Amino acid sequence: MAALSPFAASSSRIPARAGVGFKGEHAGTVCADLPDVGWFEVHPENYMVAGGPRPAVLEELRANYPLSLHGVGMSLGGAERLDSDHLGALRGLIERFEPGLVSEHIAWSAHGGVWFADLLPPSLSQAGLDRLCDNIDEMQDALGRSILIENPASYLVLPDRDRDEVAFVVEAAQRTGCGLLVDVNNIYVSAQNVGTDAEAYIDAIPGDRIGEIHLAGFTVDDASGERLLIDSHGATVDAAVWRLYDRLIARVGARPTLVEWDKDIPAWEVLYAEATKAETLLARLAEPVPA
Amino acid sequence: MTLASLQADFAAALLDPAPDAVPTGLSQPARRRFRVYRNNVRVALVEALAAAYPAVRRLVGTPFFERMAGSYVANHPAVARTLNLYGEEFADFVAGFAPARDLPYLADVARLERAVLESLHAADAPTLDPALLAALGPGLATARLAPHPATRLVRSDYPIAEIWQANTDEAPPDGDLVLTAGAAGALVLRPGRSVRVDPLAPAECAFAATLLAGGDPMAAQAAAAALDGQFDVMAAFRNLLAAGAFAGLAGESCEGEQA
Repeated sequence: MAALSPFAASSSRIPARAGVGFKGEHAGTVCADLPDVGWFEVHPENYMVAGGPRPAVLEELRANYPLSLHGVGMSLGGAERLDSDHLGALRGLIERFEPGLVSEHIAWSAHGGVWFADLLPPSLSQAGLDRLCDNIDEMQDALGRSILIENPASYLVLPDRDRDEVAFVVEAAQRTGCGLLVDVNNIYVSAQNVGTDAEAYIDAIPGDRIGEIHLAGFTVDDASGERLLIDSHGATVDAAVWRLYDRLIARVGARPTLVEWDKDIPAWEVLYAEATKAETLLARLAEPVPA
Repeated sequence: MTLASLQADFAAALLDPAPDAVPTGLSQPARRRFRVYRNNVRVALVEALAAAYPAVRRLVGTPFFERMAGSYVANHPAVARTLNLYGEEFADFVAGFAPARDLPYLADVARLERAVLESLHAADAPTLDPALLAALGPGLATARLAPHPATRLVRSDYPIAEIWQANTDEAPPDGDLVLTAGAAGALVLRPGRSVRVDPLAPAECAFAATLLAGGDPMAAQAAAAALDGQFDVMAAFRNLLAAGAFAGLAGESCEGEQA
């Protein structure tokens, strides 16, 4: 029997506005005040539970906002085949919450039956690309929809690297028909850590492939005597990252833009202020260019 | 080096207990930076335990907890693709963790926190309608009840419910521990959206344990009466029903499906 979607009031489509990564800490404020936020995003893995308050709160959120599911557990960049249980669990969440966008990382996170709960560096090689494309195909076939893939934050260069990351992700998208989730903070962090050119990377991404943009804060780690930027999602967005973001949207136009904050979660107002900053930059694109 | 062998090496180095383990084939700067991934993996699992075991952490202090959790994490990699229920064997590990042996109740508090976590994420289900029991008449004495998926019973020789209560994040830092005499366990329930922990006296514990294990009310009453001649069976039964400890009558198909 066809049931009326509980989300009939809010469409699934993710608008080209600023969105916020939803945290349980903000559930009370968000669900009570319904702030003017374009959309929310969650990691589906956090909702892979049988029942209880988490999915109940997500249902409340979804009844009021478009939702994006941003996975961290599929291990698309892994040498192994996808985990069918995990795919099934994700499919169940998609059926229940009707997200406007579904995305994953090109990193790998599982091997030999162990899940590492971290985004491990993908092989930027022909073998890595072939495997990634097979995994994206399998995921898109299983879900019956196209996904977005996200570029990682890099801390090192693997020995099998034979091409630039931007060429790698663009080719993966072209081969599989998936879209790109451009994480501007990751591009900046990687450029600082492994010496790539962030502006050239930003300029090389074909705009028509971009379905979403991520912004987040990094932290500086100099514990081993060299300066490393860590993609910690625990600070405000850096000025250099805002500049890269501005450069990207000035070229490709407005895209759904997420502000992520996953560690040392601040008060809702702090996160909302970051989203407002992105929203202001997006709105400026719509204004007529002064003569 | 094939993709599979590169990742196998990388994974093996992440799982290697030696803190300076690095994958083969990496350049010198990459070898140095491998520690970022190693640290991320370890921290993610330790933080998952810290979130799931706040009372244990408060009882031993954060530095001790992090050493204990770090030691668990090193030998218990995550298997599921989420950390929501990570730490299944943590209480057993705590029981055998020699530096914690001065706190004999610690492992039972960990068992209780595990039950709280499982209860939190357990399946939703309607609770048993007391009218259904009333309709059974004399048949009630031999009825069997199905526990609610979010109900857990943790037995202990220590007053773990009170210890837990006094060490949750909301509890005042130097609050007095109010102990009820002869504690025997804790009942974990999820009425509405949050989990509740009730201390159980020995007879209450025997009564609840018998019912939750599928024994009928007559057997549960006998088990309780053996420990406490004055046991108020109707009051205990009403409390369990009001708290939503049961989902329905055993053998009945899921009420949610029938509705």
